[in-house]
Amino acid sequence: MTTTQLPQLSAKDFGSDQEVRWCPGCGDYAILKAVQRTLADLGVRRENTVFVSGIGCASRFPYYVSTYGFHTIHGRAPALATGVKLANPELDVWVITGDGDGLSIGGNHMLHMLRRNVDLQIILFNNEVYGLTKGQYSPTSRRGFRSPSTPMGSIDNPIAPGAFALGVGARFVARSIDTLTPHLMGVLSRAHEHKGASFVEVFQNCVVFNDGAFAAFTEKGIAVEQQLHLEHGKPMLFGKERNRGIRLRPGSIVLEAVTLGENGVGMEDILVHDERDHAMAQLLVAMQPPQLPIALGVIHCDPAPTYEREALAQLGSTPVAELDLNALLRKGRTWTVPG
Amino acid sequence: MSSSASVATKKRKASTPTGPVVTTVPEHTVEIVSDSGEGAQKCGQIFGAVSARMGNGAWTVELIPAEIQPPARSPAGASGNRIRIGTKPVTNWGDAANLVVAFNEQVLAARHRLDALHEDAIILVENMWATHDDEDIRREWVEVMEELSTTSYRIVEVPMEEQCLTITDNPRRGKNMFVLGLLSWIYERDVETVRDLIRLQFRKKAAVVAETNIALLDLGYQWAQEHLDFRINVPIEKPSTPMIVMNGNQTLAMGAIAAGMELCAMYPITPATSVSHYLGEIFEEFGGIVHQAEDEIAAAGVAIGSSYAGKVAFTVTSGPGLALKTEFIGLAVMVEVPLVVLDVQRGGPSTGLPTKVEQSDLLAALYAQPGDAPKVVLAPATIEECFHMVVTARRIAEAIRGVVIVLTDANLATGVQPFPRPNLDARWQAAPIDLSPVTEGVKPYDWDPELGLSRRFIPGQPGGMHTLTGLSHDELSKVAYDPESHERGCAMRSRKLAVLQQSLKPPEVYGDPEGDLLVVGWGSTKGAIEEAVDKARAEGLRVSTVQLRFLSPLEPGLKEIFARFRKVGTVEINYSDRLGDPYITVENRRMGQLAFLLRAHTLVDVDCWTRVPGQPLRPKGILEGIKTMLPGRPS
Ligand SMILES: Cc1ncc(C[n+]2csc(CCOP(=O)(O)OP(=O)(O)O)c2C)c(N)n1
Ligand code: SF4
Ligand SMILES: [Mg+2]
Repeated sequence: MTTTQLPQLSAKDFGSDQEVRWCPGCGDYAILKAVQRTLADLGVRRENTVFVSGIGCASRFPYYVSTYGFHTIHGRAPALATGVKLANPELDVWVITGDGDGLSIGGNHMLHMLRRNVDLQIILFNNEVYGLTKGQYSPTSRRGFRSPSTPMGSIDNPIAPGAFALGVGARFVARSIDTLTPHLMGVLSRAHEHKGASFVEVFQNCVVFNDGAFAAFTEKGIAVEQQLHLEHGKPMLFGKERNRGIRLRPGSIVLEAVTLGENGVGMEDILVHDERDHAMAQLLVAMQPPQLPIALGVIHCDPAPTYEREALAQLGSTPVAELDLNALLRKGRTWTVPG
Repeated sequence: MSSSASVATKKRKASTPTGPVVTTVPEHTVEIVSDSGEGAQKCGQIFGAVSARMGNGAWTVELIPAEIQPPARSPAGASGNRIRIGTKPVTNWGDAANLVVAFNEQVLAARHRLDALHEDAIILVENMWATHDDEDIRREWVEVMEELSTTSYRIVEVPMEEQCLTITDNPRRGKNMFVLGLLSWIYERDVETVRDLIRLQFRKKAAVVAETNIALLDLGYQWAQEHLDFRINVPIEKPSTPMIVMNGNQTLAMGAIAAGMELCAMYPITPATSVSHYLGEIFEEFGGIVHQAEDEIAAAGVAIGSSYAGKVAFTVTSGPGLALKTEFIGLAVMVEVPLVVLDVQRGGPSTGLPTKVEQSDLLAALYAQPGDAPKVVLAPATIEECFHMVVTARRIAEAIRGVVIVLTDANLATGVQPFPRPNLDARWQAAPIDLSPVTEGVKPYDWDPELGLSRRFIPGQPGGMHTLTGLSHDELSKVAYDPESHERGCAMRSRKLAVLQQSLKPPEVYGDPEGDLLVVGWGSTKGAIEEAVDKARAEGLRVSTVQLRFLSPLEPGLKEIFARFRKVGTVEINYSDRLGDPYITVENRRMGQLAFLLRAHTLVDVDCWTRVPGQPLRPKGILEGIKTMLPGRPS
């Protein structure tokens, strides 16, 4: 193998010539920027990168990057992306989906892609609403959410994307916020680095149909008190003074937010984040402001063999192209009548 | 129980010094029927394979019980095989069985009631039920024997259980081999070949299993020799070329291999699943992937994704699965990613007749997608054609950057027929994908304005980066909603079919090129239709037939061919209204699917005779259909 020096691409090189058609102020813009910058930082090759999406505002994403892309059909991007990886595991595949696309119509495919551990990155743009179809409630919309299809308020219990992913066996689950660019870029880099299905939920503000849906932990001033930025091996501290922390309530498996120095709480009580701890990840992903801060960053990362590698390892040693059909037609369950 | 053997012996005292009477016939149809789980199917498969291997023409059809877990000794549970063997090649399952081996009188009665037995059929039936401990069973036996007493069948009672008990403690698992022995003697099969096939069948089990089965085979053979007074000789004309014997699903799998398919994405569904099983066996050794997806939608998506990324992929399913793939097939048409879909049709609608034959997915294959989604639809007419059609499908899919649906059916899927062994041709396989950089300025849809054809770029190819989209798009694959772009995209995708159509030859007419009635068929009915046409012509009727392989685009020259007949009518295994039924008029009559299509395409007043019996059509039935369609008679 000879390595040729590839020209360093900038974030701009990952932009396309297509006019971006999201509403002004939509959180999708910030995510696009973060992805483009991450791709540039990672130095990926555009021709080896494929963005596969379903249908929705979020799913228009592939048009706006200069790599290969496939804007498929509603909810089915995971299936198609699985096929791409099976055909060519060398391709760097990103699945772009929305909360409706990925968890309603495509929930089943999402489940199976995650449990199979196909080596790709999934970015789920969670705006808790159907943006493209003009504001109906989605499977992540909260109870009581009023929308054209739920004029009296939704009576469905929402699904928590991270909990879903953990529940179906995802080995990498992370969370970030559209406008938290450096954080989001860090999470995306980690997702890219991880071998296997990397599930990233991004809280995305839909200014038109669900503006401020995440204000409880994104609003200036309160954000720092309501966000827990997880780092592997580091204590779970948050707050402006970094004097607030997460611990297990003594004698239980319930998380609680505590203040250092109050009621005898010391650093030794504060949990230390271990990305491989699946049980803890399930507790962290369920934290809800205002009682507990929202957990951001890499919540769970515990690599396992990937689907396409295992599938390839099972392949017979002779490539199909070299197969001797004539020999095959003379053995086993096929009989030949000598002519 | 020992008395039963003597009953049979006394009744049919056979070992006369002169030996059995040997009847020589050009063809014979055998049925082996049992409760499901008693192995009649295995017995029938081996008998069919041996016959084919010896050089007889053969066609075997599985007789599948109507219920999944039928109670023992119930007519609904009749399971087994029909094997029609002949001196010449056999093209269909025929009309009625000439010889039947029944493991109990109830499954025998089932076949009798279905009119499956020839009026002079020879019947070999297990007679343990006549003297069974259970009074009800003895009564049931007597009832059936009374029912059959009005027929001219020749019934031979055989003490199968009692005989098998001399070798095995579990005769239920061994009778089928004993019966195979009977049949081997009656039909003068080469016993060494039969033994070989038994060994192969049980190759994965302990050696003693094969040996026990062979002992049972030998026992049956010997019993027949000592007790039967007749043998049947179907002369063998050795074929001039090496032949291969497979069922249609195996053939599809082999075709997929021959076509260089590297990935099969599927979700289990009868009667399509076994294609992937055969393929899986081959892929154990030779690189290739069978991907069992979470549903048929995903299977289509995986196949499209693989094809998009440069692997030759297909998906295989049956009717309900085809329905689920609808939206993805539309996407493949729209983005022009090559895709082969194999649909092994079963009875519908809905879950319908899961194990049984029907030809009712034609219009769904053609028109299920919303919007205009032109695609190629092919229908192999024989098991041999299943092989070559997959190769053809792959080549067309790639040549036109489009979707090809191959429609086979449950009859072809499980039928076994010998055919000339194909020799692999390198051109059948896809050329290795070309990942060389894309020349600047070449567009993702570089449509030839006349042909609609274009070259696609594959991820990994430098300079070819673009986003495929199911939205209406222009040559650059940019979303384009303007009228010109949409019209143009539709025209380009449709044009490819016209180009393909012009490269096809008109279909061949079987029989005279002109006459009173032209029967048009498609798919697996070919052999039965041609046999019926032969019978009709023997009766002096001016009937010919043509079998269509291309349903989309339709083969050229149909209008001209049709014009030479006073009337044209299709024979199909799908539903159509019958004139004469309440409320049915010429105006509201719903036609067979091919008839519907031909009427639309040719403006000829095409009639149809269709049935949905859940089994292959019989030549005799088709002959009646021909007579109802002949002009000048009420149809
Ligand atoms: C089969 C099908 N059903 C419905 C639609 C209409 N549709 C398009 S996007 C969408 C919901 C998108 O919501 P989400 O995935 O949350 O994406 P967002 O627009 O919010 O980014 C729906 C229902 C469709 N395109 N296809
Ligand atoms: S509808 Fe909402 S999600 Fe869609 S582009 Fe507009 S702001 Fe963004
Ligand atoms: Mg949404």
